[in-house]
Amino acid sequence: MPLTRKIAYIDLSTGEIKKELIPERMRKLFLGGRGIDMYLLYNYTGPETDPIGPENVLLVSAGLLVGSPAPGSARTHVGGKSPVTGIVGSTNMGGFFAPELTFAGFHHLVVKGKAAKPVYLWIHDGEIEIRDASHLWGKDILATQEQIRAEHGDPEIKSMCIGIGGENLVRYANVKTGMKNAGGRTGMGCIMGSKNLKAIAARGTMDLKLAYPAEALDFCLKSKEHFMDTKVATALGFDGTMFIWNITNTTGMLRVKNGQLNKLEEWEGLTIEEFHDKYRVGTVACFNCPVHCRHQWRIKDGPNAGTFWEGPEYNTQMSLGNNLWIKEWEPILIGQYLTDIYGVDFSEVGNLLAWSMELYQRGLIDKKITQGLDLDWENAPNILPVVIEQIAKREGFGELLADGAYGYIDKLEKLGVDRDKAWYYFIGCKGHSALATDDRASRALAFGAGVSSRGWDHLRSRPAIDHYHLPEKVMEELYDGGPMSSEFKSYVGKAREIWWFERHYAVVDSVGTCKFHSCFFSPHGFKWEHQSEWIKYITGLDISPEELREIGARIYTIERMYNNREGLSRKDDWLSDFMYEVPMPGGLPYVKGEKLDRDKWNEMLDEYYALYGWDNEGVPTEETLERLSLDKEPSHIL
Amino acid sequence: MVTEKDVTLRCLNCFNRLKIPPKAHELKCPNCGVEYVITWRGNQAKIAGTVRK
Repeated sequence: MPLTRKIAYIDLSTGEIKKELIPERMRKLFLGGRGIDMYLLYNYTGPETDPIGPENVLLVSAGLLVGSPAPGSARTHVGGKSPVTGIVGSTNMGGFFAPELTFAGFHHLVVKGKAAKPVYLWIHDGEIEIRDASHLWGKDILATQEQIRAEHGDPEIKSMCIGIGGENLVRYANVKTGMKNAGGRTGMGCIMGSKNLKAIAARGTMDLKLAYPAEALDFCLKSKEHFMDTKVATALGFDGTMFIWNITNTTGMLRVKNGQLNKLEEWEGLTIEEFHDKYRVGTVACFNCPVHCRHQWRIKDGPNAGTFWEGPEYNTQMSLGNNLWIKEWEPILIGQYLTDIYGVDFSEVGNLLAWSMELYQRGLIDKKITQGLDLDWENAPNILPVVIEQIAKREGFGELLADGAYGYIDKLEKLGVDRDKAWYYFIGCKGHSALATDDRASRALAFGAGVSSRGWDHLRSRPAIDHYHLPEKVMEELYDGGPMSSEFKSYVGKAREIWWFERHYAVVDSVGTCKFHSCFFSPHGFKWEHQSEWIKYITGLDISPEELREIGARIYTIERMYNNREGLSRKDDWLSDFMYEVPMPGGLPYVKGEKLDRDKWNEMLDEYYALYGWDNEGVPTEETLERLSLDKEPSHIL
Repeated sequence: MVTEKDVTLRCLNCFNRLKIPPKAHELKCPNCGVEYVITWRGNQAKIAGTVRK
């Protein structure tokens, strides 16, 4: 049964390892995965915690349903206090690691302290060992995983690990499993590096008994059929997430040159069709997923001929493509390959580099600051691989960029750059780099980025379906009330959408299924009702769809409490000033000239806080804490 | 009139339903006038971009 999967506490300073069952009460309150990790984060760290000090924790988990027949039940969650932002650190990845961790007997790992020398964790059938990793230090992410398999003589071992970015404490270093699966955001690889933890390897052969096997298999099969009947499953299966790019670019909803433009007029070289024609080899899937949305590609000729890798995603296409004024595929593919093998977040790399290029264009930084690099936009394809390597190795100009937006602006100021002028061109929120979309006309997408608990983000809420022009009646039914508006430019109902999606995704991340199977791309995706049935048949827990909504609110509220305790409040729920001050220069007539309205934003904040039961500063009220059983936190039950 | 058998797309500017003629590579929205480049995968039409003047 999933409920027999344990939590393990591993102290790398002392070598002590403790294993415990997870009380059923905690499952009913937080489910597992991100939910329990966020409970642990609130209980184990606080304002006194240095994100790269031994007192920070690395939280690694498999969601409640991971490894089960529930579709897309593959997701690993990784948490800790973020080295990028100093607030909630939380990231999520697909692949096969979390199912293997589950089959090895564990759902949650709490890694504390710091090892005296590089180590990796070897987890197998209920056992956990701390092994020497001196010989792995310095290896890229694929070589590390292959070496661990070779050492144990078992090709089925699944590992999550860091590259040299994590070893060198790049603040936005990520954790990786397989080729391109990444716990990409908020710098969890930096925490691993700070603990001298190179990898966590898992191999399990323990049964995962289901509470009601016949019903579970029947319902999960029907669930799969339901999802595979949607148009989005077909689109994802062929184009991956890049199926969106042609549409968003045509509309004018991409950032180009750090947001100076919102559409790539010369779009022909960067379409999905061009990728298919020149590079695509096939697609592969994560554990128990019928969709197969992950591309494999190969460069056939030229100096990079023979390079084979997985990906990219829509986000890669934008972050390392249009935002950097790169209008062809190959530099993006090479950039993605390098960020993957070095283990650094390409979203941060792309955004920080685009910001720097605009500063260079405007004369706010020069070649003295860039240490000789020519950051002219036309030179982007040439400098991208150089900058990625410099960041991962903390060399040259890369050393300035390696500490994220907050670290970079501090360093620029010390070098004599006008801080306020330079900061104006950073597009992000709470120190977290923005997705390379232009959300000024898309009120819900922008608002979700502004209130996200981990800083600017597209995976905490993003209701992409707001662009489908759904009938208002359908929206009112989906979002449990109204009024709603079909217009994505309208401010009506957008706070409600974010409140709904934040709770929805909190539950998705806690049961450990894939967001792409949820309502991310389709209103026909899995919702509370599916999750409730899966949980019942697979675990035996009886949790109603209404209770799941409350669990989602509890998880999001404890994240809010964490950030409040770090000093954040309403004043921090705003995007870069640029978003409210500069109109969109191009795109279709529907979006051209649009920017966000500060008064309307304030109204959305009021509505959003009220829906959660938080006060005007975005602090949960006593009544809300009591209702959500959060009034005794930190409770140290785990 | 648009029927179930027609290949349709929604205009990204005015959200009007557009009936796509077979093998069309360009299409002007009759409602708002935006001109699109169309690509095909089998019988499925997709918007690739806008016509560049």
